[in-house]
Amino acid sequence: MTQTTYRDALLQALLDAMDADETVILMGEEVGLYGGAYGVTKGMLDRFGANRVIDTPISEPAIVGAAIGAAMTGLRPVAEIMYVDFAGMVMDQLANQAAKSRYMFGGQIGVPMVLRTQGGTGRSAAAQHSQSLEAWMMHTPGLRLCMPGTVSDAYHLLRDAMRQPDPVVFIEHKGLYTMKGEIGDVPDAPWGQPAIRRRGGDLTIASYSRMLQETLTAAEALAPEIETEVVDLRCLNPLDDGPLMDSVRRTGRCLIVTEAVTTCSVASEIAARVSEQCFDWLEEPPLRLGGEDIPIPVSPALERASIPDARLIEDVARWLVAREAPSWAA
Amino acid sequence: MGRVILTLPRLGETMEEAKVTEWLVVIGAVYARGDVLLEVETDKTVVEVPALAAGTLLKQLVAPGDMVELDAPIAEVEQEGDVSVAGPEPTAPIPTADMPAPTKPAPTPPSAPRDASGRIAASPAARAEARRRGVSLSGMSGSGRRGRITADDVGGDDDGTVVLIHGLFDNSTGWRGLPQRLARRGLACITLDLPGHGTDTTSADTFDQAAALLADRLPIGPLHLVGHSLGAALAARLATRIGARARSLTLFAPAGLGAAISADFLTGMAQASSAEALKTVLALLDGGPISDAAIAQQLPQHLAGLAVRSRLAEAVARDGRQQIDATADIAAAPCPVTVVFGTADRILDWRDVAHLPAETRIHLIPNAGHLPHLVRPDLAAALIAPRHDPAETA
Repeated sequence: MTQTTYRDALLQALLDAMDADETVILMGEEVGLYGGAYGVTKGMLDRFGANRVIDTPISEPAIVGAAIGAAMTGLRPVAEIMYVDFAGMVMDQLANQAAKSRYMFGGQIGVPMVLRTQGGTGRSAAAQHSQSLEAWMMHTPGLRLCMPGTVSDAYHLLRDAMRQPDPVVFIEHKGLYTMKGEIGDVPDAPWGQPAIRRRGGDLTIASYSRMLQETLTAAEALAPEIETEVVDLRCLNPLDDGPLMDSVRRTGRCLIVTEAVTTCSVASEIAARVSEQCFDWLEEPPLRLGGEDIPIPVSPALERASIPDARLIEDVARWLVAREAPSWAA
Repeated sequence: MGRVILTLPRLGETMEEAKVTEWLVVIGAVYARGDVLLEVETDKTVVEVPALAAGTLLKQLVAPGDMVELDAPIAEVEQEGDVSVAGPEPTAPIPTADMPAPTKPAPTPPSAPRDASGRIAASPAARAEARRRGVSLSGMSGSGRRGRITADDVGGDDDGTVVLIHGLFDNSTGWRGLPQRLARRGLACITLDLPGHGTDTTSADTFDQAAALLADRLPIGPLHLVGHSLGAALAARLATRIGARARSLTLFAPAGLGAAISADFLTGMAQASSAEALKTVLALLDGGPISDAAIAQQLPQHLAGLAVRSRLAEAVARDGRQQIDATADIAAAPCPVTVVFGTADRILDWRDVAHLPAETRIHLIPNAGHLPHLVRPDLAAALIAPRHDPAETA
């Protein structure tokens, strides 16, 4: 199979969906002429024309509001907002309109749209352009949410997202666009299910998005001494947590890694579920390993230090399993 | 019994003296070997001074805040056994006013690690294991963090995981509430989907291929293998593969004991393309009434990937005759084998249990069809996990 990038996998998913279904349209700031803030939609304007690839004014509420209306009236819009940090601008459209419409209209109308955006650190983009705000979405019933951490998932999760009857928030990671990998013939797991990325019996580490890659690097370094089971959550709503719980029941130890600030994060929610569902199997409390509870610094050194990395994951795993003091405490 | 003076032991390589921070045993109390008598602070850290033998504390010779040199007297105690090792006879007159004579000995004092409030430090997994086994955590020593008792300390390591393997054309949801029942008994439990069944996207064209695929997905550690119908035959094969890791093999209506099998069921499942047809075929299982809504829900799932499942079906049974023989695997299984059949089974013939080795434990359930574990779920759980009866150890 040929190697492709995370960015091109997303492009391929959009191309395939637009070829297969003429109701799919793209809209967002600079998705057309410029080809997308991170280059995902390059060439789509030429191929599909301005009726289906729509450059919008700089107004996130307008983009999402228009997409909701289009979705309600029979199209399958894929709207893009450049940074997830701008979610604050669109939260009313998203949380009060898109997420609630099916429920409030008694199921007579749905909002089958995808909101593509990207988040995370890695480009020194500072406090207003580097956040990981998935917890806002996960906290809103009615919104679906997925965060691909592999090239194959970039393609398959986006295709799956465009088949859902409900609004899906699709958060890419700005640090993954150039990552290379293969697109599998079929998804690594069905929609809503986590994928086990590595098998092991000593410790379960759950993660998603870019932290999945850091976790896999850490797991490689830990083996064969400590065999880590790595669970990629991929889809945060819906989320079938059964495979994760099965894994924790086998290992008795669970670490959840996220790039978002730790307090009230996805990791907090997963840790709570592990405590509730696996209590009698636990040898250690489930641990959250996330970003510092601070605005993301612009300095590259401080930015890196504000979130976990493979080395920190490895240290914490050793502390959990072998009770070894972390390297920084030696 | 004899009166003994305890002295401050060396608790760290460079320790020459220590400051007393707190007494954890009161005067007059009975303590066990391993109990912490007091805490002292060295120039490096706070350490606990454990009792090296069981006894009764008669007098505290040092108070919190005192600086004590190595080997200096710290307490006067009464203890059993050889007194000569423990220091000179006390010179001070005893008892004194501040030492109430111990009137009633406390119940067997625990030596398990305790926190400041006296609660034993044990992981949730260790507590669950102790409940299951009906044993007390007191008296156990812990190997976990800060001396916490772990499940391994209680002996949970040999318990293993229950692996449930469903039958042909079924999927993991077919076990209904059995996983939960086993979980309530404190057993870790996972379900495996056969190739091309449920959420599984692989395919197997032979029994051996299916067994190989499942073998790769088995969890680590000791296992209790449980199978239904074709899944039972596969479980028997897996038991022979994993050797000593197999702790038990429990087979519900197992395939592969004889030749007979209902062709109506197999061809019916392979060909059922309407809700009505599917309902008629599923009725042969005698799993209780099936609602039209449930059938309507199952139909798309049934039709998706049906060809893959049918190929496996043709490999294991043709023209009303089974093509696999599980009796050799069952005879070779390195663990106890339990077989459960319903005597009203319309898919397989329960009388084929006559082909089983004499060691096999056989349970026949009157009037049950091909799903005896659904007819008697509590019995099913009890047979899989006989040592984990919640009623016994609750």
